[in-house]
Amino acid sequence: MGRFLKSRLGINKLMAGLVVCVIVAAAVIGYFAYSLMKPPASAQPIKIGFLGDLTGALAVYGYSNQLVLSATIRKINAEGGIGGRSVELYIEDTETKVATAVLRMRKLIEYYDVDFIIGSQHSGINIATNPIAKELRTVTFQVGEASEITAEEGNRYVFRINNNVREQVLAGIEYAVKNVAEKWVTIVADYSWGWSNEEEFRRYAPEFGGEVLKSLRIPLGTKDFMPYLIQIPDEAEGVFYAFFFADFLSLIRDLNAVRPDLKHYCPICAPEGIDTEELGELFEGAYVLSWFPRYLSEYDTQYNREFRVAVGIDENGKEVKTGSTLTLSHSWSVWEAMYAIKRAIEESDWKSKEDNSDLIKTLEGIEFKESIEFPQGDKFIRAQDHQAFMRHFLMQVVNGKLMLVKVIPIEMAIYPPEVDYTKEPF
Amino acid sequence: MLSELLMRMIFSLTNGIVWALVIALIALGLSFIFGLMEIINVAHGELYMIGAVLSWYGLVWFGNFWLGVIMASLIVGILGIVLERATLRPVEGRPAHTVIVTIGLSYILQQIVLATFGGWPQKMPDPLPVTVQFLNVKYPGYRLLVAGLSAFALIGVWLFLHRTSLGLWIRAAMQDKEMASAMGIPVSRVYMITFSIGAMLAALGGALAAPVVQVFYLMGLDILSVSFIVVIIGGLGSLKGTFVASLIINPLEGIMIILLTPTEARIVSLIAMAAVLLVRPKGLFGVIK
Amino acid sequence: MSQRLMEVVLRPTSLILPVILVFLIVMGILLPSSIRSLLMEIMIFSIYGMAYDILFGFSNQFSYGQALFFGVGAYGVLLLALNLNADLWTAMLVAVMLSLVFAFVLGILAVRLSEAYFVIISVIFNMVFYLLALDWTWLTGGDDGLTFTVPPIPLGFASYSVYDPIVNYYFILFFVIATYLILKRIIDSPLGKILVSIRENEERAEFLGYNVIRYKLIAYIISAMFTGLSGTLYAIRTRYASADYFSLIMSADPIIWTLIGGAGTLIGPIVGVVILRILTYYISVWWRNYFILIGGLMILVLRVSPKGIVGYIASKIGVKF
Repeated sequence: MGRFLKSRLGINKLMAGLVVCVIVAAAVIGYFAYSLMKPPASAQPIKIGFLGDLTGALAVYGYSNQLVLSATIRKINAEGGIGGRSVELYIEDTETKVATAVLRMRKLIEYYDVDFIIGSQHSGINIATNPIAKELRTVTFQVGEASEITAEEGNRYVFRINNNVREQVLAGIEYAVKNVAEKWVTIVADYSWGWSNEEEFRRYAPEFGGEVLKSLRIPLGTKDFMPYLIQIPDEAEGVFYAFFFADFLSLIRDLNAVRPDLKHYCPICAPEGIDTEELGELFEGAYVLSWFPRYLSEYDTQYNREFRVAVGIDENGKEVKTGSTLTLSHSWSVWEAMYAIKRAIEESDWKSKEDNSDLIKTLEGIEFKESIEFPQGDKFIRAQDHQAFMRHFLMQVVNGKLMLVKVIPIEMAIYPPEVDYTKEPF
Repeated sequence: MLSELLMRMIFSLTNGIVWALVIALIALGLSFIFGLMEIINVAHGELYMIGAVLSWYGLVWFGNFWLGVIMASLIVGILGIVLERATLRPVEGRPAHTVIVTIGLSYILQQIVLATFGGWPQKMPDPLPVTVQFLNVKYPGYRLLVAGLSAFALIGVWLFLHRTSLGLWIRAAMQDKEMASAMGIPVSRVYMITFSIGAMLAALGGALAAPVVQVFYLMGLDILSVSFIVVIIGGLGSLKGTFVASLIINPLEGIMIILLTPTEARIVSLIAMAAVLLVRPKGLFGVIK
Repeated sequence: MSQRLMEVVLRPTSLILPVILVFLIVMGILLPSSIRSLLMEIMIFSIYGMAYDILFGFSNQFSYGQALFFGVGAYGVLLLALNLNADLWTAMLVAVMLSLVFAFVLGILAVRLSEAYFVIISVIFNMVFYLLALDWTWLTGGDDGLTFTVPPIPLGFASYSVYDPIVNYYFILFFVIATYLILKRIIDSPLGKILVSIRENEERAEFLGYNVIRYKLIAYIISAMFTGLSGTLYAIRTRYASADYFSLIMSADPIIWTLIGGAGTLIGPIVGVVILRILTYYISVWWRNYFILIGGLMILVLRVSPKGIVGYIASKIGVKF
């Protein structure tokens, strides 16, 4: 019994001593590792945090956005930075999951001490991270497209330099209804982005003389669209759809089998990241609303050329180095978001996050002219909802390429604001 | 009105039957793997996905889709052998542990494909650009071909199981491992081959389905669910069970999707699966105790 | 057997744990905010991990669907606060009670199943909840989820806001400590010993006259309740919940932590959480496909030491769990 106790005590003491040493060692190592890994607390560079969708369902957008944003910052630094300060980019992967993104956003702000955030393409992530922007007082430029992000789900720290679903639908609806077809069927992906498209189309079509005969919602990942497509009324002349990637491919394939007579109209999100020249007759003749033409020929400005050179994109919207089709019509927004931040810093004399309120006020109502910094075109950020308004481009697929049909002026896409962040305290 | 509903149902039914055959092929592998080795193969969907990815590469490198299909099936068959020997052999018989291992495998496989093939969903050209006139709609001929090929493959598997000695061994081992071993059947080799065949069937299903569903590194997730539903309801280790269950569930889900939402249809299937598990764990035609 | 069980009184660790505890309590104010955030994450998931250990490590029920209760906890507190303006304690309490109720109903069905079927049915139940959460967007916000303003913590006459990170930190710390103490008591109690005996040899326990099903159900419910608790804390921390909180990936996490840390040790899952969350925090930046590492780790650990890291150390030192 005594021996037993002694052996137990022996293990105890040794164990205890060992453990204490391990803890102390771990604490010391941890402290050093932390201070080594943590970026030096230098006041000089301006830090930009990027919440990229590098893996998961939106990996294609993440890749493209990261490419463009890195190029933007390289160019800014090459030209002397912002007010003499260099710009540093910190990237975290959202894994296209909201739960992960929420944690990574905090990490960017708390661990890397980023000054600004450029956000994810995923609307759900934007909505979940908006409150964090406010809680942690960090100005965030979201790039997702759900309208709510700069409406009821937004706040004074959130800005959006790209358009949203409501703006998109509104921009193209007149042309669609007057020139493409009068009687429509809408087919959308069965989640918030799709529903937004459906709602906005239904809202605006009648205002210009159009009629929506039927609306279909099809879940993401559906293998077979046929059972849904045979519900399309015979009188329908045009089909408006909101899908992307594999679903878009399956949809147009099945549409061609069921109703090859229908005229197609969709936002650029549908064929984004996909080489339309390989789609053949499935997509030929479709009308597409774009907000940044993929082919240089369709929007050949000196700024567009310079922009492509800076990022490494060829005249067909593909990455020069790898030949992959980028999501150019979306990725321009991170370039302009970065330049918007630059402009706001310069104009409000921003030095640190203490000056955020001045920076925000500067952005509210700011106007940008088409330039190398804003190659997409003139735009302004509305004060009340921090939403940018810009011109759009109505394209049509001709011989597999997206060709410009009509430039849609800024005024066509403006709708009344639903909120007023200027009344919000900081 | 009513005839439109009827038409949609007939359509769904047809599609359901086409899918049922492909799913039966994929689920069959899962059924045998589970039935014989008590391996709950959470990575089965990834094997299907890799089959699709490899068939895409086959098309890109050799210009021939069918060559790609064969290549994909064979490579995954070999992969199955490697996986079984290296990672699964030690945990056979402990279903909980097999789940852990195969979850790990699925993560690894997904990330490898993401890192190499990429996150872009890829479209494959139609291997049989023919259509069949069916209820004033052009039904894709390739789908009918896939259904036919799957049925063909299923018959092939049946013949293998019932007309070859290896097949006999597999069936015997499934009935009673100890007895089979006592009779001199090399049970561990049977395990390896069964897993390999199961993986091959999944890959074959993936390769055949690729032109229809597009190739994407996460495409295995949905397949896994429906495969397990089929396996549990049909019964472990039973080809007949898998076949019948698949032919009931897939068209049924297809029809339910018209009346409910797809999520609700899937929930109904899951509840049916739970019911079978609780009331009759053997499933409809289960061979295992 | 009972003497051995006395050794289970984690005597060697009785020094480590108080040390860590003091460290955590004191450092709450001193730590840089990023580490504090990371620690909060780790603590919340530790509760989830410990709850899982009760199920897997102590009563040998391998579930691949605990995220069901995690999601119930998260949405319970969120919906009550958001739609019914409940105060924080009420919301949390209801959420945990909901977990209890669901665990009772589902447990009665599931607990009597054998290992393989138990896993599968845990997945089915989880998937049903996940799909419902995706589908019923009017309630859950579906994939996009819902954000909410977290009500303040009422304590006597004062109320504290979780939006103060220090308050949030101690709030979570309180629950981690409480969870550990409660679960430890349960393990050391007769109930705990019965569970261990069931784990060691279920048939023998049955022969000895124990109603195995009943005890397994109790373990299932306890596990579910604490899982629900971790869900509530997570929703409070992120001010958000989505159908993703019900996902199978969320269910796989505690499996990974318990496996790597060591099942049946109560502190094992905590070790697993710490290692994995720190790994994810740092490695995800420079290796996008770091999940390969996690997958590989799962397979390797199972081969080398099925009892995980804690089990491995314990066996080397001669301590038995």
